[in-house]
Amino acid sequence: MKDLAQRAIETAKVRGASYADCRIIFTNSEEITVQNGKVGDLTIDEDIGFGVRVIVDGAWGYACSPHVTAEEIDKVAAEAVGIAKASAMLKKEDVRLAPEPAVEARWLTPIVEDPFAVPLEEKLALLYEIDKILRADKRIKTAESTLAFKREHQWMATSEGSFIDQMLIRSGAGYSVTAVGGGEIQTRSYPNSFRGQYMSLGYELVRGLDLVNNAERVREEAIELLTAPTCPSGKHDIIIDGSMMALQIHESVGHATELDRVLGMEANYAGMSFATTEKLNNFRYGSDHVNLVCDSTIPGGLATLGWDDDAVRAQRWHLVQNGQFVGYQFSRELAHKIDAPRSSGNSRAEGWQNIPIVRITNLSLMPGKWDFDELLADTEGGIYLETNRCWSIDQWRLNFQFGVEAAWEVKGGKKHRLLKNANYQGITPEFWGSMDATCNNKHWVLWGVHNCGKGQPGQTAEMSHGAAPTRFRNVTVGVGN
Amino acid sequence: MLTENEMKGLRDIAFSHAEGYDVELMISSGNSALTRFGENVITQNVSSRSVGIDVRLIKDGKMGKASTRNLSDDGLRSCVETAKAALSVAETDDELLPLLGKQSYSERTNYHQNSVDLSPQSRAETVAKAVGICSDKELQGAGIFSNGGGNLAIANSNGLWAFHKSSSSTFSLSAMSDDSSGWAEEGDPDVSQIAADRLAQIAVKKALIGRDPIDVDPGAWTVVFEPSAVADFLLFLGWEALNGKAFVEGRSCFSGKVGEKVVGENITLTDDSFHEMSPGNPFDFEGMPRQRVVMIENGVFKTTVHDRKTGEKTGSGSTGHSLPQPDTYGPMPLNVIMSPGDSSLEEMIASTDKGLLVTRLHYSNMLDPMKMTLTGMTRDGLFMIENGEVTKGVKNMRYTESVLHVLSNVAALSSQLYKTETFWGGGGTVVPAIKVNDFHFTSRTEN
Repeated sequence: MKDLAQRAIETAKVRGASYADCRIIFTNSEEITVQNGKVGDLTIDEDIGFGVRVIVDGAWGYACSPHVTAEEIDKVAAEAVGIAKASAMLKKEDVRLAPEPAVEARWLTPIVEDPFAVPLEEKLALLYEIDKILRADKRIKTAESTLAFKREHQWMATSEGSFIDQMLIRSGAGYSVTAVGGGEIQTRSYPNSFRGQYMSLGYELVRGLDLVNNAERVREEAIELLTAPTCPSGKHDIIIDGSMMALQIHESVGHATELDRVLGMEANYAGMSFATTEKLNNFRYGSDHVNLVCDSTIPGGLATLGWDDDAVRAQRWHLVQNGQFVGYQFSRELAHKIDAPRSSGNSRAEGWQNIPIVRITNLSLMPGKWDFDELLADTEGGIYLETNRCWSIDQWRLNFQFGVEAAWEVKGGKKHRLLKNANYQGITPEFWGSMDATCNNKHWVLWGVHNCGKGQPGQTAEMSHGAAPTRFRNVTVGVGN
Repeated sequence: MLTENEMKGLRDIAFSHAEGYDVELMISSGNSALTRFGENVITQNVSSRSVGIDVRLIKDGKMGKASTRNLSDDGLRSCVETAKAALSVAETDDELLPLLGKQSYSERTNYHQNSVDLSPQSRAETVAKAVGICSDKELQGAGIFSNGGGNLAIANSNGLWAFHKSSSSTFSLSAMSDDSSGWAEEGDPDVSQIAADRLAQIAVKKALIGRDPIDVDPGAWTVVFEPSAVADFLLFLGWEALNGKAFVEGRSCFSGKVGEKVVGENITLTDDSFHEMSPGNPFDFEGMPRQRVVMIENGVFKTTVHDRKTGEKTGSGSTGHSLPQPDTYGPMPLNVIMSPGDSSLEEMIASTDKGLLVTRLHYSNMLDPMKMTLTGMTRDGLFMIENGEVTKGVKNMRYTESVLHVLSNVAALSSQLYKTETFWGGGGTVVPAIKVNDFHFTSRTEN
């Protein structure tokens, strides 16, 4: 693989590239879904291909192919050079890559149990067991449980002399149940919506989630929601559970601090950001309690890796420190735009088919000091919101509205009746400014986002967000109810 | 790109490795390229080739599936063996349908070689002209110019062979000032039909009118929606309500409502892969011929679309809308056509004393599938209409509204139909512009 990757680089250099890299990627994946007692999906996929990225005349070109042969590598490298020459027809300045040392390295996701070595029979038996519990009531119309595993082996070479052999392993598991009745449709999920919890772990993730023992509770909550009162409209103090907080972090901080968005490179599709460069180190993103940290080294994170697709080592840094906006997520190409000496290591691509772009890494809200029961007890009146079901945010990452699967009224410091169709709405800095408490390490979980879409052509990336239940004061709730 | 004969060769090899099984294959191959620009310069420029084969095996009421991009003899053998292994551990499924027999298909041509062959230099030249129109007005242009083509084949061991060749191209541009933006986009199987200059002029005009936007209060408004926004509403209706699986499971807001009036009498929705403006395939992913389906006629709900499984449950049979099997989501309309009215965008604006004009929606999502309540934002051109004229830009707002409420309050539809993509993709939708009374905005934002 090393020889093939270096062949691409040599071909590109001979044809005029001042920089070139080649990524050859071999991916195995397995996805098993049981829906309403039947195998909804049992797909095993094998994927191989390579991509060549070059800078010629100060501009980027990228080409890729699924045919990993010497002949095809020559052809694709030459094509990438031709594309870069076309890019150079419309540029203001040459691409400038922040310096990085050349490295020869290997990196492997640490796992305990290889998920691909666990027999399919065992995996299916687990899903059937869950499915049986979920469907033990005729009001349940759809029960769906899923296991998913991916192993991505990437060999990357750069014209600067780096060669990185990296294998990333990710696992996911979860289920959801949909109850229908009385003109209502209500869904509950475990451990999270949109197919559950995903982490860079092996099969030990599945064994540790206590999937079977939560199935009955999840089913009963979905049924109870059918007749639960609607979440009231108005301003309320709210406590948001860790999994919903993960999406809150993702949408209102993660994407907002991607420097390519800030600079207009995503303007036509996903949008831009209110967190413009003059605000760096000069803007209050939230209250003093808000500490948001990027960490591509944290064990189990979906974006935890050795090196990114610019061959930059994984790092840890603050985006928001005690409420102050202090950092961005960016690539080697964009470092000079904020006078950063090096990249933060956020350049990643989905597979070999795509060019690396700036992607959110693992980004977490640091835990506070509260036990969950203490936080509830400290909340006289309000609403506790759990598990995302709908998300929407504007193209500046300011105005957001998120719906949840379930909510509970909080009264006199305790959780009371279940509420259906709850949602909340806010403006990003105002909302984070209203945060006055978050729970401690005991309640802090690294939640995986395995379906983050960005870019044109569209790419999907994975990352994790650590969070604990967190309280915000005086938030607009129940919009449209 | 793999030719039809090359795909038939792959089929024969895969079949030879799977003797004793019923076999269904989906073989795909394509080339695509995309030039992306922002701040009036090219920021990304990519080209991609893709191939893939999905192998689905059925035997003794069990099913197994595997896929690969390794199309060598060894790769295909390995893929078939993996599918056999998956089948061996599956439980018997009493609802598993046998493979479809041989079918015949109507002619559908939406392939243009020039769309596949367009060079990066040609894309760059087109983009340069378009962003020049932006920079002439001191605006920043951002967008894409993409082109490509692909071949898709569905084959099975019952003798079914379905093959379709298609091409595509899209030009999309956002023109931005410090406090406003405008947008225009067009897609076509034939790239020569793309008028990038005209699209740039539309986007620039919107950005210029939108400068110094004002705040308005959320609440109920009369709103004129341009086609892209209309398509976003219909996308969710298709996914959640006109989905045959959701319908038979009682999860569609139309479940049990066949023959009932569900929206305004001026609304007719059809799924038609053969509509002259809709770039659809002649068959679905089971190889079933796609049918034209009138889903809502003059406000009355008629039917959802179906695959063979949901069609069997309702007794109506498949309408040719299957996704690749096995499918947990359900059949959905991919070529929605909303019937036109007798107005025009200009007349709708002229007939509005006070209202808003929406160019495009952003990040709409489903809040309540039974009520079909969505929330989302306006973007790239929200304008005040006063006394029949577009007078000024308005800062973007969030809406929270039921699609059923929207379609029950349509005061006018344009006679012209437009082919448009939604924010979330989802295929080509053909819609008129519409004017809607009593549309609810629920909050504002700063831009």
